[in-house]
Amino acid sequence: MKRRLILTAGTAGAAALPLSACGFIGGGDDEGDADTIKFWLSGDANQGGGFQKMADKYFEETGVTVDIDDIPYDDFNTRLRNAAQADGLPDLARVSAIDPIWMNQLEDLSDVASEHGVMENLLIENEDGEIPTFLTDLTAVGMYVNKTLFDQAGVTYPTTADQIWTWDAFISAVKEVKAATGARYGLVMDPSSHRLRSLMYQFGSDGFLLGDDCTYSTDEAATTEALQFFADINDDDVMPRSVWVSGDDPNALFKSGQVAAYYSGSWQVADFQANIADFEWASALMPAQPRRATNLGGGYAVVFKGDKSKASLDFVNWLFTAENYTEICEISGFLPVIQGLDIDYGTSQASFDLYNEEIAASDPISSEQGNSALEITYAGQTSGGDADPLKDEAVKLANGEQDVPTTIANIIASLNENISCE
Amino acid sequence: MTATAIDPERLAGPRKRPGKAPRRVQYRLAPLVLAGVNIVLFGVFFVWPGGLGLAYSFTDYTGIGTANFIGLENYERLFGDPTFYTALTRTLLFAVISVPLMYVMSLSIASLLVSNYVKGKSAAKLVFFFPWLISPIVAGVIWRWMFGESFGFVNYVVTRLGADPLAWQTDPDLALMVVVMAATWGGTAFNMLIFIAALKNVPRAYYEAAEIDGANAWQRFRHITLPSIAPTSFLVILLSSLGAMKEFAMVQSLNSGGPGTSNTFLIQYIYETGFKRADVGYASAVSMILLVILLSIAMLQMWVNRRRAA
Repeated sequence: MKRRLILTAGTAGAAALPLSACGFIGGGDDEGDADTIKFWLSGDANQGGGFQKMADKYFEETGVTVDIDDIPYDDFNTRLRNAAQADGLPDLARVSAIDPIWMNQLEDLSDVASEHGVMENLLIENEDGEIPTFLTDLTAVGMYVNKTLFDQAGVTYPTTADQIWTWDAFISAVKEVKAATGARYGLVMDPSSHRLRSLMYQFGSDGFLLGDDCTYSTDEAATTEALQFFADINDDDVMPRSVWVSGDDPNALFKSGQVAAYYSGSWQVADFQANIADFEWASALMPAQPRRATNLGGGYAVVFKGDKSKASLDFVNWLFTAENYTEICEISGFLPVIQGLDIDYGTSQASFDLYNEEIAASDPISSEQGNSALEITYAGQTSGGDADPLKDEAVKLANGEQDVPTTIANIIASLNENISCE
Repeated sequence: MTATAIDPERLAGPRKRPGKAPRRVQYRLAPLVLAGVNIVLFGVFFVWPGGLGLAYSFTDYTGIGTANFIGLENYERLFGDPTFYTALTRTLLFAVISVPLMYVMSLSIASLLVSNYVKGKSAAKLVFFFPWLISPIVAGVIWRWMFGESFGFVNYVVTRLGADPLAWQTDPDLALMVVVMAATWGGTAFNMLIFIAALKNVPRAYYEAAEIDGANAWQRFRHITLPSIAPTSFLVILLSSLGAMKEFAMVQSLNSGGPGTSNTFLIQYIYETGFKRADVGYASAVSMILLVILLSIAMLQMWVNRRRAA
């Protein structure tokens, strides 16, 4: 936005008065100049404004403006969907999911992916053998500990693979920390099905999988164990119930310094680095009971077909060159989707090394959620928009509205209701 | 309203000379032109979406693709849906608690602010009006911070006073209380302004006469003020009840209807089913029910008001 203002102001200064008036009018949201590409994303500010900095650099090198619109995460999918219906899609976007409504308006990114060597297991082909999208960066679920509290209590936490702990050992450890230091809670966990899935994976459950008969199923025993564990730690002692049942902010709770551990993800590193000054924090290896797993995610790059698609593809191609991609990974604290880059994370190096080790040691199930979501969408099956039965039912479970078997039954029923296979 | 606007008796104007063509023809076009913009806006932004909603409520529309007509199925599902009844009763409970509270609060503050004995009225007006200027989302966030269970201000004070912290976020009834308080805090300002205007319009002479007759302050308030501002009270109660039934943004940011689903109001239920679960047909059916409820509330109150006026 600021860039556009400066640009327009510049034009206004250089051109004659009537022309500059046109410049202002032409600067409206939909028109754009021939060399302006519209880029929608969410949460760039949280990630150090990496994309904005790359856009600035791109402008300096090529004179092409990449106009970034940072849209609140909660609103993002709706905005794109509305834009698609109103024929007002941006030129490119970094999205959290592919929507059937605009799925067929995507450019094939396979050339970009193969040219820059994006990891094979992250590339999913659609029915036509194209790769309409791939992750711009990797995120992984991970555990943070309040090092100050752990040290004060004299409790250790694992930093190397041979010290891996189980969830039970982990819970007793945080209880010990809590007792020794007077901390308020042992653990906070993001209220998200993504984190809950990762917990289930670590308990040996594969979560809820879509079968060939177009119905979902789960490994009852392991899933029950995981969800029961989840319900048990939501006791206002180990975990504050308010996070899951009424939207309390776990990030803020952890930052208060009164919580021993935080089950979240790699995207928090940059934030913690910048905003936690009152205590020492550290990334710790996640518990495995018995399986080591995480849940991979990230933003998906998409280029929409249209007049600007060539210009947008050029930008994406430029962004993924080793030099530029390394730079954005360093600014935003991204885990790379391209292997073999030498990325300098500065003071966060230890955290990122730990994440990379964790990802490498994780069970393949860890990329299941993202990949199957793409496969379902590409296959023309719909899974019900923004519905998130796993989270909705887990909230009821944490609130004591229902027991574990009911929760599992409800999740499966709701998933089955929403899925439609052609 | 429209009925009085086109009352032919009045529009016909002053006496007409017999034998001339009736002049009322002129008045046909002018009102239409003048009201034209409103009629178009009303049509585009009310009748059209309303009609569309009604139409969707008979279909299985999901927001994309085609909408298949399924008759009354959505309504049948709705009346057998326990979540709907929970949302409905919780919404009504919220309205029943918050509307009287808001009425009493705004009237008391307004009475204080028109009293001759009060000092610093302008400053007080500003302070009381401030909540109205804040977006409901921000209001919700402020109250969430204040009543945060673990590190909120209120619980801090409570613990400092030696009591146990209260479960403002995980106890359904306490959570509802917080929503009620926040709604009252946010809604009082506007009603207060209306009441101030009404109170200032009550003729002073009544009070003076009553004072001479020996009526005390409460009697003057009860028998002069309240009857004189009855039409305003009616307006305030009507608007507040409708507002309470439609409370959304503030609740969403305060505790998103939590804990769990215990305080999900009807509007949120519509939002959840319509936008999150993409069950637009079903959500439209719920909206139609809400529309009927709101219409009934408005008509009931108008009927009561008319009977009292008669």
